Amino acid sequence: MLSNANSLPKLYLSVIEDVIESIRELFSDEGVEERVLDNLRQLWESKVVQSKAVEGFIKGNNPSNFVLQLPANYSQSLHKPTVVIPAAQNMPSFSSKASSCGSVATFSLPAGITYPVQIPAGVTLQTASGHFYKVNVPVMVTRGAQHVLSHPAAVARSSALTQRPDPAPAASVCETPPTLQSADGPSPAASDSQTEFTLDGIEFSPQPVDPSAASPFTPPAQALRREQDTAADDALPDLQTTPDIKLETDFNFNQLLDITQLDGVADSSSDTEEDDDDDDLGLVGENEFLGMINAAEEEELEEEEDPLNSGDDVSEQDIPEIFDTENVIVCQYDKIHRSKNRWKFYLKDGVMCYGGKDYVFSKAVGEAEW
Amino acid sequence: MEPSNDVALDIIITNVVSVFRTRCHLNLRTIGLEGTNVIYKPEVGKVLMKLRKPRITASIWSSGKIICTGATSEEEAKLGARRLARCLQKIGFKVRFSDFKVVNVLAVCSLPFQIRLIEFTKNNRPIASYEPEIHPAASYRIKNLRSTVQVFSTGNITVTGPNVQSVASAVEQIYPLLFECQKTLS
Repeated sequence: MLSNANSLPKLYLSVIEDVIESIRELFSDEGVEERVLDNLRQLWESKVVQSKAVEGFIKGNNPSNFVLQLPANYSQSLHKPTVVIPAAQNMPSFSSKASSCGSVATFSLPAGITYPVQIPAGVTLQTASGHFYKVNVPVMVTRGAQHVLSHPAAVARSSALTQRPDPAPAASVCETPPTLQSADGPSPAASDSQTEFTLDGIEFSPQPVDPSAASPFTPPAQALRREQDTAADDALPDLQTTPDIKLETDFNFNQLLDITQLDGVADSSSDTEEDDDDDDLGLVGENEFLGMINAAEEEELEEEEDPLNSGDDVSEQDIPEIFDTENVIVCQYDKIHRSKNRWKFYLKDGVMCYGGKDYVFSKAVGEAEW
Repeated sequence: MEPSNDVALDIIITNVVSVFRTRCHLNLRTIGLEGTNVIYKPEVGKVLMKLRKPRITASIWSSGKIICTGATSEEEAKLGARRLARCLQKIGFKVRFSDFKVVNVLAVCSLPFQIRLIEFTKNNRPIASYEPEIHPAASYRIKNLRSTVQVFSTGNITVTGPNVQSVASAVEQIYPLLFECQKTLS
């Protein structure tokens, strides 16, 4: 499910994006203000976040936003790093950022950039979440897993580090800013999620790179979640970890290096517990019928021969209908098959809300016994 | 000699089919959407509703006619049918439970001996008929009971009739005939 959680925020965001854009014109034609549209978008996004159906959902995500901050002396040779970025890419948009350090330039890689990206030595990288990394050796940024910058210790120490106490399970590197208790003004870590690059085999020097003494560093630990990757850990045995940093050693690595496809053929949206929930699209009790049902329950339906006593003799509530789960699947079906009481479901293109979380699939196969 | 009365035969009722009417039009789409455990078959024009207890399956037509299958006794059939009507009532239809009737009972019985079908058929023409190329069993129709017995050479028989009583009578009636034609090795 990890891989699903990884792509889900993006998917939802793109859906929101598409919808908003496509109705922008309609809205303006109707004479509705842009503000309303923005409101709508924010409402939508906040609801998604609230529902907790998606992990790592950050509002206003800019995909593949990757801020490179260069020390002053590189300002002239700014072209240098851009050169290494594959020519096919647009030149990264470069904006001078008047930060407290003064002589720092930042630019962000455009969304369309394809990895791997090579970054020469001496470049200081700043992820959107505000983490600073100074690259001492040329670095290859590949589109890896959620580990933005793989090594926790690579981070320069900071005076006021706040660690996220528990490793968020979110596959996305960009742990949602709200959860980040970073001392530095948390710039949305949104971009991190999309950057997804690994800097393997890099030797990071732990020197503080932040020119401004005031701004604390947050270790990439917070940005990195590598739970299961030990290999990368081993790669940098000599990273110095400053004592006052309580490093997160478990990172949500999200194993994207060897992505296993969990949907499609391998999807196991097994329905053992779902029973008949699949059929139940939650379309119960539209208003018209509620009234009728209530009325019926109160009356007794008398007929000539046998009255159907309301509930006494012929109540069917023996079966404890453990039904009120919110687990639903909304999808299309290829085939639904039944033999006696064995059901087989061949589903496609759907979203499953299970245990409060959303899972999107292009193919789902299920079996159930009724 | 009539040995039939000495033998205790296990007649197992496997299926009881019954019908009843709700005396009101039923909106199949509504039932399909709101009912629990339903299968809507618009191509045929009916809804199947399955009940767990008793384990029955009902075919529901929009005219209000309902056929109930899968019960293992007449009482169970009636109980299941009423439960079903109650379900429909809960959905909101003004159902009445009327014209309940058991239309078919299917039972099986395992005789303790094998049977020589050809001999049996010869002895009981024209009531019995046997066409091995079509069906491996000989069928024996008891007109007055309106029941049919299918006799297999293994000694298994299936009996269908309009009610349990006729099925029981049919078994009693056919037993001696089969006993005569058993495949004893002597």
